[in-house]
Amino acid sequence: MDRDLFPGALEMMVLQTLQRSPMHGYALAQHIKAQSDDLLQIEEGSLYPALQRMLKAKWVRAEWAVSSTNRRIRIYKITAAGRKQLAAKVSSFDRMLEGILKVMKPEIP
Amino acid sequence: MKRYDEEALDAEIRAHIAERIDDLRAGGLTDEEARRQALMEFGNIARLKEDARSVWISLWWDQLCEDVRHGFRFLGAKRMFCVVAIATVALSIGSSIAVFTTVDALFFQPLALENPGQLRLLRWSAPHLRIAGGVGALLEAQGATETGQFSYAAYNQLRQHARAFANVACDRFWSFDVEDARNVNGQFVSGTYFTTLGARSFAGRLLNQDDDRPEATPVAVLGYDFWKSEFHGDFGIVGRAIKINNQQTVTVVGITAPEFHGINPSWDAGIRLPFALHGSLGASRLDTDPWSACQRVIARLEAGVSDEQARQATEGQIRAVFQDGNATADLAAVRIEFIDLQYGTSEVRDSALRPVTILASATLMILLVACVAIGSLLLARGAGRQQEIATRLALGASRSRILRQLLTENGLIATVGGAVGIALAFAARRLLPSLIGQLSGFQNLKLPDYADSRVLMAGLVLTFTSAAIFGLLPAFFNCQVDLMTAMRRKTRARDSRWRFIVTSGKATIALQVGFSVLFLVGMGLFVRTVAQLRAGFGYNPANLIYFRVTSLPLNAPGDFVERTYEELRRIAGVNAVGASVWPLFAADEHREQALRVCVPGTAKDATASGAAAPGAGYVQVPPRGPDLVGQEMVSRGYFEAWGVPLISGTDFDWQQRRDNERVTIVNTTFSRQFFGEENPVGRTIGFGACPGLAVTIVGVVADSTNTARLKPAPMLYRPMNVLQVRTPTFAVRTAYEPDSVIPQIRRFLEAQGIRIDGRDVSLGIDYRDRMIVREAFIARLMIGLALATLFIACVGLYGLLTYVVERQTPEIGLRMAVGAQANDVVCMVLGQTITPVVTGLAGGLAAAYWLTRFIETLLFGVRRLDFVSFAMACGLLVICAVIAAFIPAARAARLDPMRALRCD
Repeated sequence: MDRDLFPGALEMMVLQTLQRSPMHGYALAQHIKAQSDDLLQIEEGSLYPALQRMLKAKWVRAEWAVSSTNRRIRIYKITAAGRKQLAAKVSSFDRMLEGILKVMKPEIP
Repeated sequence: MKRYDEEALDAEIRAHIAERIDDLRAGGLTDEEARRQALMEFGNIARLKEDARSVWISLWWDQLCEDVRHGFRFLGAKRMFCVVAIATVALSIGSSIAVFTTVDALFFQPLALENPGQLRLLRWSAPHLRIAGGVGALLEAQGATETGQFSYAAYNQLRQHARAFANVACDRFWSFDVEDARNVNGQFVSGTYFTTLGARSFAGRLLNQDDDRPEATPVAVLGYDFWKSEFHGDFGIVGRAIKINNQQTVTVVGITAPEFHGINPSWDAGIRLPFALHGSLGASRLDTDPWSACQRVIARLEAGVSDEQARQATEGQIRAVFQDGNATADLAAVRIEFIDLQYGTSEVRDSALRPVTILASATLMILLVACVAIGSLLLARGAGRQQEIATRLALGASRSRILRQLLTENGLIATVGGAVGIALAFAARRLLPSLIGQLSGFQNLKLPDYADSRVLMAGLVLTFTSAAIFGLLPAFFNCQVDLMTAMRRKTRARDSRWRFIVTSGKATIALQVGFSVLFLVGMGLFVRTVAQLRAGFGYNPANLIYFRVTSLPLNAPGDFVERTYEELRRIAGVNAVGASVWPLFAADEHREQALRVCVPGTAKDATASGAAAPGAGYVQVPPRGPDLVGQEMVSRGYFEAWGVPLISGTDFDWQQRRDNERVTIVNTTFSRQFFGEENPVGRTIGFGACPGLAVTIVGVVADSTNTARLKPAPMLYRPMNVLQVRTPTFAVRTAYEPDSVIPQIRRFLEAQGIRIDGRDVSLGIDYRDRMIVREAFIARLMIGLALATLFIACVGLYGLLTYVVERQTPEIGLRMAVGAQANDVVCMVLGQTITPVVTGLAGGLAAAYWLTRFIETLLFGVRRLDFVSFAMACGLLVICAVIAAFIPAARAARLDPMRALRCD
C-alpha cells in the first residue's frame, strides 16, 4: 500500500484526479497508474482504505451507479472540503519536494 | 455513509476486479491468466478490508464496541467455559457484596438520629459497690463492680445539674400486653427520651417532659413496625385510647419513624410509655427499688464539651447521688465511662462478630480462589489460542490491539459476572440480615437498609479487583506470542513459555489444594461439632410434637391437663404424652425459677461446703451461683414423651398430683452433686428455707437441656399442679413420622377449643435445631466451601495434567517405544502432581493449624486440632486428587507409541 509513498500522497493524487472528473474506484486506479507511467508501485486495492478515509473526512462523496458493463459501481466526487484539502496538500507537498530536492542536489542553485 | 459498510466495499472490490479481468482479457490473456493477474495487481484483499474497517473504528469507543462484539462472539463459541466462568464470578461477587454490605449495615451505619455522634451511653464503676434492692443483689451475685444502671434520682440529678450535657434521657425495657397482643417488647422512657435522641415522629407527636408527670394523662407512642403489624397501618389509632395489660388505658399520641430503633439498631420496641406510668403498670415502684429504674442513661453532649470534661462533671454529680443512702460505694473511686453511640449499641454486633468474620473471610477466600481458578483457566486456554494470535499478528495486527482484545474478553466475563452478582446481592438483601440474625441468636434482627449506591460501589470495586486478578496476567502473557514458535503448531516441552504455564499452573493448584484442605478441616470440625451438639441435649427430638396452650377453653374442668393427656393418648400413632409448664428446659434460662433446697448433708457435702447445718443433717444450697438448682413442674409421661430416660425409681402418677403428695424427681447432676454415688430414691430433701418442706425423691432421670453447650445443672421436677399452671405445654411422642399424626392433633385442638402459642404445633426437631442454627449454618457453609474448592482444585489438576500430557505426547511415545510400561507412564504423569498437592496440603494444614484458634470457641466436643477432622481432610483431598489426576494419566498410558511419536 502506501508504504512506499509518504503519508497522504495517495489521497492527494486521488483528490487531484477527482477534481477533474468524478470517477469510480477502478477507473481511478487505472488513471493514476497510467498517469504515473507505472512508476509508482501501488497495489490497486490500497486505493480503497484511502477512499474510506476520505469518505469519513468528507473530502469526497460517493454515489451508486451502474457501469457500462452493467456492474454496480460507486462514483466518487470531490467535495468543497476536499478541494480545500487538496490545495493545502499540494502547497505543502510542493514545499516538501523543494526541500527534498535541495538536499538531494545541493550543487544546483 | 456514516459507518463502515462491509457489503458495499465487497461489491466495489468485486466490480473492480471484474472490470480489470475484462480489460486484461481484452488485452489477449486467457481467463485464468487474467484472473490471476487482476488479483495480483489488486493486492491483499483481506488486509485492505481490515485497513478500510480500521478507518471507521479508529476511535477507542468504536474499537471497544468491536472488541465487545468480538468477545461475545468468542464467548458464545465457548459457551460451556463462559457459563462456568460467569457463574463463578457472579456467585463469588454476589455473595461478597451481600456479606460486605451487611457487615457495613451492621457495624458502620450511623444511627438514624440527629447528630448521633454527640450521644453517649453512660456506665459507671466503683469498687465495693453496694446498692439496695434487687439490682444490687444481682450485681453482687455476679460480682460486678460496673453497671449501666442508674436510679431515677441519679438520672434526675444528671438531667438537672449536669451542664456538660444538652439533654439526658433514661429508659427501661419492659414487656406489655397491648390490647390483644401479648408480651409486646416495650420501654418506659423518660420525658426527655425522644428530644435527647433527636428522633422524629412518623405520625402524631412523640413524648415530652409534660407527659412524664404523675398527674399527666397516660399516653403512649407506638413503634412503626408494631403499628403496621398490629394496627394494620391505621392512622386513626393516633388519638385513640388502648388498653395496656388489660388494666391501664393510655392514649396513643404518635408513631415513631420507620427507621427509628432507639440506640440499638437490632432491637425494636412496639410501644414506649413515660416513666410516670411505671408504678401503675406493675413495675416495681421507683422508691422501693430505685436502682432498677434506669437501665440505660443516654446523654447528648453540649456542643464544644469534650468527653473528658463531661466525664469529670458527671462523676461529681454521681457522687452527690450516692449520698442518698440507697447505695454506698467508695465515693472517691466512682468512675464514669462513656460509650459513643454514633453507630448505636448492639449486642448483635458482639455475638455476630465471630460468625460474620468467618463468613466474610470465607467469602473473600472463595472470591480469591475463584479468581485464581478463572485466571489459570484463561491462561491455559490462551495457550490453545497461540496460533490464532500468531496468525493475527502475522497479518499485521498490533500487539496492543490483541492485548486490548484479550482484556476485553476477560473484562466481559468480569462485567457480566459482576452485573449478575450485583443483581444476586440485591435479591439476597432481605435474606442476609435474617440469616445474620439467626447466626447471632437474634431472630428479629433489624438492619438499616443498605444504601443502593453502596451496594453498587462494593460491586464495582469487587468486580474490577477480581477482573484485575484473573484478567490482566493471562492477557499480558497470552499476547506475548513468539511468531515462529507458535506457527510451528506444536511447542516443544523445553520451551520457556510452556514451563511458565506449567509452573504457574502448579502454583495455582497448590493454592487451590491449600484452600480446599482448609475448608475440609473446617467442615470436619463443624460437622463433628453439630453432631456432638445434637447428641448433647439429652432428649430425643425425633417423632416429637409439642404445643403450648395459651388459653384454656371456657369452662375447662379442673383436671383439664389430665383429661387432655388421656384424650391425646387415645389418638392413633401417639406413643406417649406429657405436660409441663415450658417445653423442655434447663435451669440456666429461667433464673427466677432457681430454688433454695435443703439436702440431708452427706459427709462429703457437709465438709466440702463447710456450712453449719441449719437443720439437723441439712445443708442449705444457695439459690444462685454455681450450684443453681432449677425446678419444673411436669406431669406423668413427660420424661417418656421427651425421650429422657428414667434411670431409677418411678415416674409420677396422677394420684400423687391429686393428693398433693410431696414427691420429686431429680436429674443425674442433682443426684451426683448432693448424693454422690448413692441412690437418692427414697431420700428426703427440703424445699425453701431449711429444713423447709420435706419432699421425697421418687425417681432419677438423665440430664437434659434445651440450650446447646449448657453445662448440666441440678434439676428438681415436681408433679404439675394444674390449678397453678394455666398455660401447660404438651409434648406428644409419635410412633412414626409426626406428619401423619399432626392433622389429628390439630382437629383435636380445634374440637376442644384450645388455643395454642404460634400458628401451629411445633416439631421437636425444630426445637432442637433452633438452638444450633449458628453451628449448623457454619457447618453447611463449610461443606459448601469445601466441596466447591475441592471441585475447583480437581478440575484445575485435571486441566493442567491434560495439557501436560498433550504437550508431552512425543516424549511419552518415545519412552513407550523404548520399553516403558503403562505403569511407568501413569507414575510419570502422577508424579508431576506430587509437588503441588503436597505443597498445598502442607500449606492448608498449616493455615488450619493457625486459623482454627479463631473458631475454637464455636466448637463443641471436638478439639481444634481434632485428629479425625485433619486426617479426613487429607484423605478426602488425596483421594479426589488421585482420581482427578488418574484420568489424564490413564489416557497417556493408552497412547499408541507410533502415533504419539509422529505427533511432533
